[in-house]
Amino acid sequence: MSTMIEVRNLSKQYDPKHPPAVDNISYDVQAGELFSLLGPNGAGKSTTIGMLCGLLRPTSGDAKIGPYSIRTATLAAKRLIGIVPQEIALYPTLSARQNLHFWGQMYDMQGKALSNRVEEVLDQIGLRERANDRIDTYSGGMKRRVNIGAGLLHRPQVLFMDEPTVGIDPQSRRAILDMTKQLNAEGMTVLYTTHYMEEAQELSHRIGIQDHGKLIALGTLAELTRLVGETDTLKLQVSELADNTETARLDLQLGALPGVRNVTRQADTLTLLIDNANTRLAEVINCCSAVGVHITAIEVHEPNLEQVFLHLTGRALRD
Amino acid sequence: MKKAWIIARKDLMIRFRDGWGVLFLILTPLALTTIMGLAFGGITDNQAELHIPVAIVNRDRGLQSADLENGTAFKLPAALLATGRFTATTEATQTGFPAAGLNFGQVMIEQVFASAGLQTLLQTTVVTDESAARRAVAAGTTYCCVITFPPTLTQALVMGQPLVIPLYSDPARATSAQIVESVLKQVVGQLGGGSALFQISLAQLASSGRLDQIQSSDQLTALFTQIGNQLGVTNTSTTTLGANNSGETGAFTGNSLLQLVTRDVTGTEVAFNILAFFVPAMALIFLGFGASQGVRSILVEEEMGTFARLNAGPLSSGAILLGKLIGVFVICALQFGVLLLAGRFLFQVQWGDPLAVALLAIVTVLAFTGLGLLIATVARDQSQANTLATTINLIFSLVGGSLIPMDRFPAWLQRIAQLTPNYWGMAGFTKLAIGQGLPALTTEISALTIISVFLFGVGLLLYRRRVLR
Ligand SMILES: Nc1ncnc2c1ncn2[C@@H]1O[C@H](COP(=O)(O)OP(=O)(O)OP(=O)(O)O)[C@@H](O)[C@H]1O
Ligand SMILES: [Mg+2]
Repeated sequence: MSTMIEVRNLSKQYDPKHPPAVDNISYDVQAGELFSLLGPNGAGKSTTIGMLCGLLRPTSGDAKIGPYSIRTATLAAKRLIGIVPQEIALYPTLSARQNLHFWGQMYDMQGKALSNRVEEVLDQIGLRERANDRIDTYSGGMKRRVNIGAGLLHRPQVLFMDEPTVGIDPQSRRAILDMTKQLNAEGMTVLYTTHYMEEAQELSHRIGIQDHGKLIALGTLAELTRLVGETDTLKLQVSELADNTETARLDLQLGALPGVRNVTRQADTLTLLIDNANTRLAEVINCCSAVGVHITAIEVHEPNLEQVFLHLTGRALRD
Repeated sequence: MKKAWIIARKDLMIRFRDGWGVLFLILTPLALTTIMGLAFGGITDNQAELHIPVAIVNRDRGLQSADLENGTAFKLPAALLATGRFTATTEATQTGFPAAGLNFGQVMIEQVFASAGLQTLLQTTVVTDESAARRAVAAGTTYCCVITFPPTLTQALVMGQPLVIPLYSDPARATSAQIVESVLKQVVGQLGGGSALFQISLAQLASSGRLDQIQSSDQLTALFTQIGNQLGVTNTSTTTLGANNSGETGAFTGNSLLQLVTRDVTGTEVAFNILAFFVPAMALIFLGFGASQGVRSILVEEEMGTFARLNAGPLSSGAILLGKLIGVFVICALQFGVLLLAGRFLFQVQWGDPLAVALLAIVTVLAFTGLGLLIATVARDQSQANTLATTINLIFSLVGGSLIPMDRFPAWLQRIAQLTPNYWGMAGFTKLAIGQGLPALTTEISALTIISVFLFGVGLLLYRRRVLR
């Protein structure tokens, strides 16, 4: 496999008075890979994409798209890229068809080839019937789909998708995720940013976790979850306890069970960090019955990116 | 630069879809022009009520000028000699010379400049101290111009000699000075050039058969006096005769020579049309709004994210800007053109030479596009650009003379005004409206070009800094 995106010590500082928005990050994305950048608001995801597609001048470092440096061969690099900006970047008073036509022309397409391709993309985003309506009459999800379509027209080798599912209904979201997978399956390299860990988990071959401008972890889902070990999270909802001594006794007994690493309590919810929760459920339930505590609900969470992020930063991904 | 054209075309499409926006930029100035025209003298009689203050110094010595004193003979006009009733001896007799009291300077003051048509335009004061009047002009007070009738005025007119009438004006009050100059040119054009006044009068007399009745020098004197009367010349030697022949003078009224003043050679009305002020004034104000609104679409695109998308595409930032500016230029040129045409066909403003109009319009639109670019690149965002554009356009319109004629301003302000494209646009279109052509527009066109180059230069520098952060 060849390297499609090569990021080397890339940094961007908008304002010397503030810490850099992107702080010395390096990674490679292989051709055909679907790579996600996961991070909370303000992590520097859009800034990274801005630099990679030649909109922002890096403060230091460099990146290559294919063989082309974004610093020295910007135009050639831009030709390989398609972008789906975070905000809807379309002309609201023009129709979807007119918008797609225009953006195609900006990527050197013309004539019959362009017209055919516009119809093809309209089919792909499922908006052929509404294609002659003005964009400002569309729903949020429809606009997002046209926004993606405009980035696909010229069949780019690399597609940058910057939080393409923000603020839309589950149905449109599903459609966009499926389309992303489809495009990748057809061989397109995709750099996908999101702050939804579910999306990163579902889509990506590999995930980079970005926070405060720094790349704090990088790997496959399995590699990343291994960072928090095999520890699962077990959430128990319990009936009211008789008195404090009983409560303390329960905490003590649960904490003494094999594999349990930590017990915390918040009102009627007990949270246990426990290795291989599924094999130890019976012991936990028995322990509760022994002290006369009635369990109303049980949830088991296998390690996920949320916990990885918590583990790495001490903060929740979404605050 | 094919992509620049595509961007421009896209912008045109977007602008024309915004029907209200287009209406605002074209119908509003038309409506305002109509209202202004009605308020200042009406659309129908089209007379300007400008009252430009002008000082006139009359140094005309009639036929008693230096040349005559030096013994140069006054020759009778050709039409009289052609009757064959006068000989060379008539020329030499200076003492019994006919119409010795004739003073065209006086005639012009009393008849031409006092005529109803010109009085609404000019407010003339006859002064004797020429240098004091000139000082007043230079200081920007009392008078806008000083017209000096030279000592040889009458002689030159009667004998068809070249004539120079000095017009001393304040360059800072260019518009008014141009109006005065144009009036003066018309007057001189009629009175001068082959002593048109006499030639025409005599020709009229000849055609009515009255020249044939003239047999003697006395009768000739009576005739000249009659013509003088017709011109309103009043002096002791002519009043009595004029009074005696009052019945006969009536014969001339249908062809009053004074009408020549307000008609040009082709016979069309050349009185200044007040709408020739308001049409360019309103067109320029709304050109300012149109251009800044057009260039502001860069900021709109910046906020919509389409600007970033354009910049992420395989085209240079220069091509993007060029496309945007072509779009703005085309829209503004259309808008301005429609307003000029409306001025021509709705308000009867004569722009004259189409080439001159086109050239002036192009540099004017360029200058305003440059102004729009500068505003857009200076502004932080769209709403700031909006405020900035409104403020600058209003100030420029005011200072540049689009709202109030420049002459009401002190001289220093009028000089500052020369930094605005509004000033030069007004000056240029006023010149066109009073019948001047391309050669007279050199200053205006050059000034607008220089302003454009400056605005685009600074605008481009700021744009470059803005695009690549
Ligand atoms: N044009 C700019 N000028 C100054 N600071 C900026 C600019 N754009 C972004 N920043 C700052 O850079 C940091 C990273 O912003 P960025 O938009 O890259 O984050 P993000 O990861 O895309 O966040 P989100 O999930 O909210 O889109 C933030 O602190 C932001 O305030
Ligand atoms: Mg972002």
